[in-house]
Amino acid sequence: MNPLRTLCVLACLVAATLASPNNGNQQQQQQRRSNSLNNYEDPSNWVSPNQIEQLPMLKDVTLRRLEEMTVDEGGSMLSKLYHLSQFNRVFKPDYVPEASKIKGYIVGPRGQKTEFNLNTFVQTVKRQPNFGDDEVTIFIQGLPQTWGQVNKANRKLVQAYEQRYNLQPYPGQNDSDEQKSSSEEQQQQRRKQNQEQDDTTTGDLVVIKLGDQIEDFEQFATLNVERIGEIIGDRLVQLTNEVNVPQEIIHLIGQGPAAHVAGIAGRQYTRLTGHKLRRITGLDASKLFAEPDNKLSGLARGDADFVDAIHTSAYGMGTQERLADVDFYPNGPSEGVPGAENVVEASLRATRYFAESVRPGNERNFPAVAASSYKEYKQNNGYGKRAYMGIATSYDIRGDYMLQVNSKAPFGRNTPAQTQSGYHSVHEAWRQQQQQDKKNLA
Amino acid sequence: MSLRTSLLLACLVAVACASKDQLKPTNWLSTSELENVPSLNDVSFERLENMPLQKGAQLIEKLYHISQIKNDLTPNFVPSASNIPVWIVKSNGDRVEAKLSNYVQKATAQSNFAEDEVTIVLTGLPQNTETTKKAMRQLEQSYLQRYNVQSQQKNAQIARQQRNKDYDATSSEETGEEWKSAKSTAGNLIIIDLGATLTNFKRYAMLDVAGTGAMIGHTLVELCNKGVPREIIHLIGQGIAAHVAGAAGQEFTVHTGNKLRRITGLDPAKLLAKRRDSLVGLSRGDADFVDAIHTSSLAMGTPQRCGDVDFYPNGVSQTVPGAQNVIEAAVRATRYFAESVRPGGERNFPAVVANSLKQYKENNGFGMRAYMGINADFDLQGDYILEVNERSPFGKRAAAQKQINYHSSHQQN
Repeated sequence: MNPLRTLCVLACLVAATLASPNNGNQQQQQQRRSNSLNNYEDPSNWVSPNQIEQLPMLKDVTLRRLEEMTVDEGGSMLSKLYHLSQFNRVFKPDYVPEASKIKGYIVGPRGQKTEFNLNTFVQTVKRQPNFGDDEVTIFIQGLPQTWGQVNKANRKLVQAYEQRYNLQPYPGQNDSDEQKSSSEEQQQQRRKQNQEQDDTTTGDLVVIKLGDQIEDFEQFATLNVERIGEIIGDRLVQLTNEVNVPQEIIHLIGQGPAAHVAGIAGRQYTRLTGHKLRRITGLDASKLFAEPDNKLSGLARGDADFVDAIHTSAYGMGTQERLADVDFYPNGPSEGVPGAENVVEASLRATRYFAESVRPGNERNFPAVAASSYKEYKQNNGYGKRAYMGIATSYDIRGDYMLQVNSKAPFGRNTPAQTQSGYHSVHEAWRQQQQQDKKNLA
Repeated sequence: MSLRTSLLLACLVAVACASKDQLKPTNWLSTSELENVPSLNDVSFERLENMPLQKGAQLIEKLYHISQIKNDLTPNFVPSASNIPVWIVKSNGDRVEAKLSNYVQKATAQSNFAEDEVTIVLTGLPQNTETTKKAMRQLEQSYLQRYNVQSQQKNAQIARQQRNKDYDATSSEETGEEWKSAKSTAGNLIIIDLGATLTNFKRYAMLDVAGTGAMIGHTLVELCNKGVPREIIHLIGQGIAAHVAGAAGQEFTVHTGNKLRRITGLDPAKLLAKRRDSLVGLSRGDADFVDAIHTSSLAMGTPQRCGDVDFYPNGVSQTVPGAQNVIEAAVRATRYFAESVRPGGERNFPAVVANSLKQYKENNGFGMRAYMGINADFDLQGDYILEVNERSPFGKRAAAQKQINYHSSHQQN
């Protein structure tokens, strides 16, 4: 008859069969598979068809949903979604938020916020008096601020820098939140700040709210970090060329997926100028669900003079891959960290730890030791120099570092910093401490 | 008319449903697909070598990613030290046989051992096919040439100096190509044939990298205790043994407080079996300088960065110039490195900082040029891309010439 009609019918049938979920003989398979250790060589024991069937559709993986799952549940789901999607290259980096929609603000000397979007960024900076005199910290947020937890973590980091750079109407101003938590800590800090300017710094703080453009998990998974990173890199080149901000004072901090954006921005900057930014910090760099074809992507050592990364949900929203010159794993590589109730909170802990270290006086709150596992760290088997996670990480540190953290703020373990004169003296001090502890227990 | 429109509508809806299912995980791996993924017992190196490269790569990728989902494929194979063959290669090409348990003794008993450089190569695949045998043979021969030329030059220099005692004897009269390029000193080659213990794919997949590396690391500590300065040790790991080399380096540091000078990974492998609470795998910091060459990043090798500097010949790609299967692709790194070790070949592989072959070709690579292989500069950091030939000689030295022209024309602008 009408060939178009038959074709349509055929197409419908084909599409209909494609659309229907895989049912059939699953129950049979389930019974056949045994999860006994004897069968570890069988890939159907690594994941069962039932587990795949139970995975939600992307549209249903809301960030809200992740917050409602336990750390283990959330981590397990993300791990499946990630690995199952990789060998088929399911996710393409299709999501490119428009530059004009990516907003941000510059914190001025009296704490006032001057807004911009990525297209007006450079012009806005030009109007800031004394921009780039000292340090320039650019914090790229990677998760939407509409969630309470994200907002809180970001606020802590911004406030910490406001304190550090003295960008406040009154020194030592805090909101009521701080007063509830460890007050002695805060008083010490306020005293210190009033007495002396700790660690030389003044600086400029820029916040780029990339996270607000990520509304759901699909956008999170398909974010084109390359494109956004290139745009930001271009802006930074403009900063150097037009506003005289040299690369050696620029510190990029990227949260979650924005950690990769920061890395690429650094690479773009170097590609155009031949110079490297001073430092890039990744705060729980996310798993990269979508990668460009045949291209190396994501945050990596070499993207700046010094690259450091803090992993707080390695088996959750983050990645356990070593990305930086130095990678910190508070509590070892895991789905989450002590005190975090879900993978989102765990991911944000990296922001909170870093924020705590930024507050004047807290730079050495997070001593870490080189180790491959938390167990090794606890066995005091750490070799090499001690490193401080956070703002004060030494730029010559290389490798993987483990540390202990508290489940509530203040998070840093804050052991007294022993003067370092070399590996052996540190090792000796620890040994003595251990022997002392043993004696005390006896 | 209305039938046509409603049919078209139905089609559109159905098509929309089908594409929305791209976002449904059960369409990423169906039950039958999962069933068809072979068990580790059914994968063999032979089978992988007989598969076309693309197919082998897809199989490995599937196995890898599915094994990573729960992260509880616990490594369980540690070869015993008395079963790992070691060859101490003498400058005349003769091999002194040993085992991991006694090679330090035997090596340090050799005359002229560790006067200059000590290169220790860990094999990562069983040498039971021509592909793997050839690659290791080339590496061994290259080192023999390198060390022989060096020692010959050294002897010649000593002889010359003795002849010309009374007046200045700086530049040598023999200025052939070999002498010019022969830079570093003579040395000793030791091959630890870990690959020989990986008699099947299951052992390969379940290798306890940390445990095996610790074992080998102890022998390195022993070596140093017997007077071999750690700065002259260059540890090279092939495939999965690249990670073992990294673990050995870490163990060395735990015991001595110092790092090895250099570890090179020749196509570091994807690691299927891991303990989820510890970090494993070659990475920056395992030695003073860690370099890696990735030749099969989308097959048996890993695309993940493993060193201070990572070279990706031909970028990140499933195709590997001239390689027909995943085994060939994996040992390409060994062959490239071998070519660079041969006297005169040190600059055969010029590379440029880039993230993709496309970027490299667009001359969009930024930064200085670097040489992949034995002459990799210890200051290098980052990702480097280069092009290679399908057949030996693999290095595209001509690219170096093009680079010079590019930079000079750039300067004129």
